[in-house]
Amino acid sequence: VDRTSVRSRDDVLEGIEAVYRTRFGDFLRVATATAGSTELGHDAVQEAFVTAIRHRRQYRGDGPIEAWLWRVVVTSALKARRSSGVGASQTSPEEASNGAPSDQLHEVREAVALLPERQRMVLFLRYYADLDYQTIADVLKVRPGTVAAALNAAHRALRHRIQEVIVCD
Amino acid sequence: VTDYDPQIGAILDRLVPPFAAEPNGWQELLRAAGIQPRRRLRWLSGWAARRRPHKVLVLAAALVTTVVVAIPALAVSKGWWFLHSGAPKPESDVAVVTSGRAAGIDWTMTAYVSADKGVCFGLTPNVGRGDMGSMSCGSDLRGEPNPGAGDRRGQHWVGYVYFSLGLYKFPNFVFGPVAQGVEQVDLVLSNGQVIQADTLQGPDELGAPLDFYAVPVPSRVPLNSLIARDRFGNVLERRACPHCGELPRSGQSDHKAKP
Repeated sequence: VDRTSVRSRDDVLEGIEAVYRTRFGDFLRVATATAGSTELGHDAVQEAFVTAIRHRRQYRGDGPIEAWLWRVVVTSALKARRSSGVGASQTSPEEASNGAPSDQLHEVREAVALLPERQRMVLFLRYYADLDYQTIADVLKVRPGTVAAALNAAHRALRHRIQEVIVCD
Repeated sequence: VTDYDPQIGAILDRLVPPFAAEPNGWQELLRAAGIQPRRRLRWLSGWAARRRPHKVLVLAAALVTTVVVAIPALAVSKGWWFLHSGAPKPESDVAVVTSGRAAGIDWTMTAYVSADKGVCFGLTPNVGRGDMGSMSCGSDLRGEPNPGAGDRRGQHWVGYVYFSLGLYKFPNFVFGPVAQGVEQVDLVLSNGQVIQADTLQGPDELGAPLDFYAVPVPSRVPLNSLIARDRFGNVLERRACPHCGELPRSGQSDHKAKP
């Protein structure tokens, strides 16, 4: 899906469908990481797209429709996690599906969970969705410089934690 | 500063591996969002060329410029029944706004732009020969084309028809057009219940800047009023619905309201 803006309401619906079909796996991945489980992530993606379709007239065409959809999905996933009462550090998709993770993985997961929410979301959108700084900035409604700073801070925190785990092992 | 750290990327991949899930369920998403598949109906001139005598029984008919009027009528087996019953002359295609199924009966909501009485809209349950439907013209809506009567500008945000078929267990319906900007119509029933109806995008072939809504309502519970809201929930208009849902008189099952 190119980044050109779409304008008419039918165009918007077609744009939503195109992004849904091409990026579904990435949406599911970010939503799962954000919400805390695959089930919550899946529900969040479905809910987000129903919301986006219903309120597609709110998309003004002043930016990429993909960024608008990412924003809706991220909002839905954060809402799912909060309403489930599950903290980000309490569960993980791997734990849920494959049993207990390794100690190292557990430590890193804890470190990710302890990141401020903005840093965590920048990390997920950069690594799981492969979004560039500008798009992440559009999604999170911040400046690109803020995205760079948040990603840098997240890297520092995670590298430090990984180093600690390696030394301890 | 790097924007991608392979070591961190590898660990994050282990935390949430890539999904191989194929996207599916688009149609389910559309349905959940209240969007029905639309199809273009036959061109009116084509229908007119094939017209043949049909028995049309009009139970109650009145068409008055800029007045919402309901016409319960027996439908014909082919073509649109309202075009046989003296409805205003169409200036556009008869377009399907939406369709659905209630009590095992398929129904279709249609609309067209008339030459001089605004937008005509109808709801037709498909129960075979002898179908009944309801339609109205001229809701005095903002942006409504060809209102007639000096082409004065429409004042209202929401139009409505309360439709009570009273047969085949088909539920009562409230339906109508709305001016663009209306995202939701609240139907306030006499028992305090509020039914929320999301608006549907008006069909492009209609060529009118209007959207629509259609929602079944419980029988035996009169409808007191309608509230048109924008996307922020702000009230754009409140309209009373006098005698809506009360027992019909003299065989007339619909209600009409002066705008």
